[in-house]
Amino acid sequence: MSVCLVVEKANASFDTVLIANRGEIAVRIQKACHSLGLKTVMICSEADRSAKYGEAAEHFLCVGPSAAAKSYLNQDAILLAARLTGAGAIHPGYGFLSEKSSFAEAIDGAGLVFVGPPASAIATMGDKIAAKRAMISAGVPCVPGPDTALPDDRELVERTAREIGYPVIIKASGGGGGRGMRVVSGPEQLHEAIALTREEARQAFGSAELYMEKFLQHPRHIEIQVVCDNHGNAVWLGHRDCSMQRRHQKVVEEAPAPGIAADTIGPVGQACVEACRQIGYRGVGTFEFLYEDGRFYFIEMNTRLQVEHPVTEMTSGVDIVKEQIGVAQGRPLAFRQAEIVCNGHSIECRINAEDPDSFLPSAGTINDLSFLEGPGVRVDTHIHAGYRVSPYYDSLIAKLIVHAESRPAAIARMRDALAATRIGGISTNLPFLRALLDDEEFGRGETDIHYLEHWLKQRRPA
Amino acid sequence: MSAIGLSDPVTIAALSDALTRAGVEGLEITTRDGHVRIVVSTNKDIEVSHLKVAPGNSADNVVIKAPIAGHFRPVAVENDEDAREISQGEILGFMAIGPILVPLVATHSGLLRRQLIAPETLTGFGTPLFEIQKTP
Repeated sequence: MSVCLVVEKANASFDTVLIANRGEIAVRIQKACHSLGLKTVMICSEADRSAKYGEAAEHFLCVGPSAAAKSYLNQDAILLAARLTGAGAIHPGYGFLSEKSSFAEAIDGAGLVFVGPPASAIATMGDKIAAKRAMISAGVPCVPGPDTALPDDRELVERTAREIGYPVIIKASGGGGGRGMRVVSGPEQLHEAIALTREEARQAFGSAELYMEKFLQHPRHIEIQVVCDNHGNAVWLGHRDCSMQRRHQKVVEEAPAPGIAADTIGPVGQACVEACRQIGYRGVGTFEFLYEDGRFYFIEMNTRLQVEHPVTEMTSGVDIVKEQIGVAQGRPLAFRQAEIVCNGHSIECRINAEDPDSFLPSAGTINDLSFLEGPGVRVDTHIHAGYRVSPYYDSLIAKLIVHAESRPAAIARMRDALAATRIGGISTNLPFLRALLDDEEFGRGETDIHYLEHWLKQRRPA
Repeated sequence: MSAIGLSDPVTIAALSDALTRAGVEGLEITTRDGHVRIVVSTNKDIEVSHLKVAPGNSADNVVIKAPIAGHFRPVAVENDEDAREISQGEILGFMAIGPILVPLVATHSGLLRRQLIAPETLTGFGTPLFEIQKTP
């Protein structure tokens, strides 16, 4: 009797990777696979059926309608696609199913390889309270506040807030991306803020669990990139500054973070590596910190590839995606910590299909496309002249990345690259990025996470 | 209780797993909107079933699309020139995912004018498979 969906349990060797994503990251992963001699299977929704990047894949299979919930987020359809095409591994990219522990579990259960960390590590880091507990245990510096859920006892909650010191921030345990959080500046707002956030958390994340932390008023957003194998090796690849954010969405990222001395960041990087060993982490990951007044405070770990990984690749010389796939194949890391030397400075600008003033998404057909080419310039994109930008998905259409020997030189190179970029037929945020790169404060560096919002407010006509 | 989605991979997977665990060799489900047959066996015999479905729109030609990714397996391979009469509800073929066969049902009576892709082609969701000229 032949039996259906569950295939034989595979070992870590595979020759075909199904890329469960779309757009620029699907292209990036495909390049890494091909450079490793691996075949690729691309999936798509109906809206992406004509995407050219599918032509370079062994199979390009539509798995569902345009709505992401029925295609890129449809775990069963993706597993069926892997079965139909004989893929031995699934790379989730970022977004979509990349941080769903249930997806990693399902892939493992189907005898396939998930190109990412163990499901248990994803689940731990997805629960902000559990993650904080794990980080405290590993010696990673965290934001002041208990590593337990907020109790229902009103007096206890008030005492906790007093001990932390106002202002505090109430956060959803299952939240992220700037949702499910509320700042409380004094005791008179406390209980109402908790009630509102709890209800928001219940509706948005399916769990009403909250926690409380000190609210930092002018922090920067600093990240540490790690990569770990199955052989006990864990390495950090330097740090990034992603403080330039609009509505909690990163716009410009750079590596290294300006103005942070090696002896300040070094112990934090080592603590991240130690935390990875303690939780049995595997693959690539990013520790996100707030940095204020010379101190680091852990906020969360992203258990996947980041959009901004290229700036770390440019400075460290490590192909992070290839390493990630190599780890999934069971190979040890190709380097040790002492061999990681970060050189120069790298900046990434996210080019979005959106109005540069209102930031409303812009769909349509690209009729003109040109990027600067040359040393120190890299473009990660899936678009081409004739490409139709769909209204269904994230508006990111390209990442423009530069590298130079210093931050001022990198800024100059990015200005040139932005000036030379032409994308016709749709609106993009290129004018906004060009203006931002000309900003004096950006040029000086070390701006906090609120800077971009203030800058935008000042630019708006009265 | 909500209706069963006969082209929903979640449903297909759950049914298939349940059949396997129970040692059952096959299952057919028919609802007002569709029909699915799952066969768990070593041979490749296919029983063809029929069902009635609600009338579609009034366009002269309709296209039957793949309701799920799979290998396209038409019931009978016809030459492009040989249009044949079909009845509404007739099963024109299947999408095969291993032993699972998801039927492709004629939504209208009329002439099956064209089969648009070759048998056993790996086919994505939404791919046009058959063109039917509706009977007035």
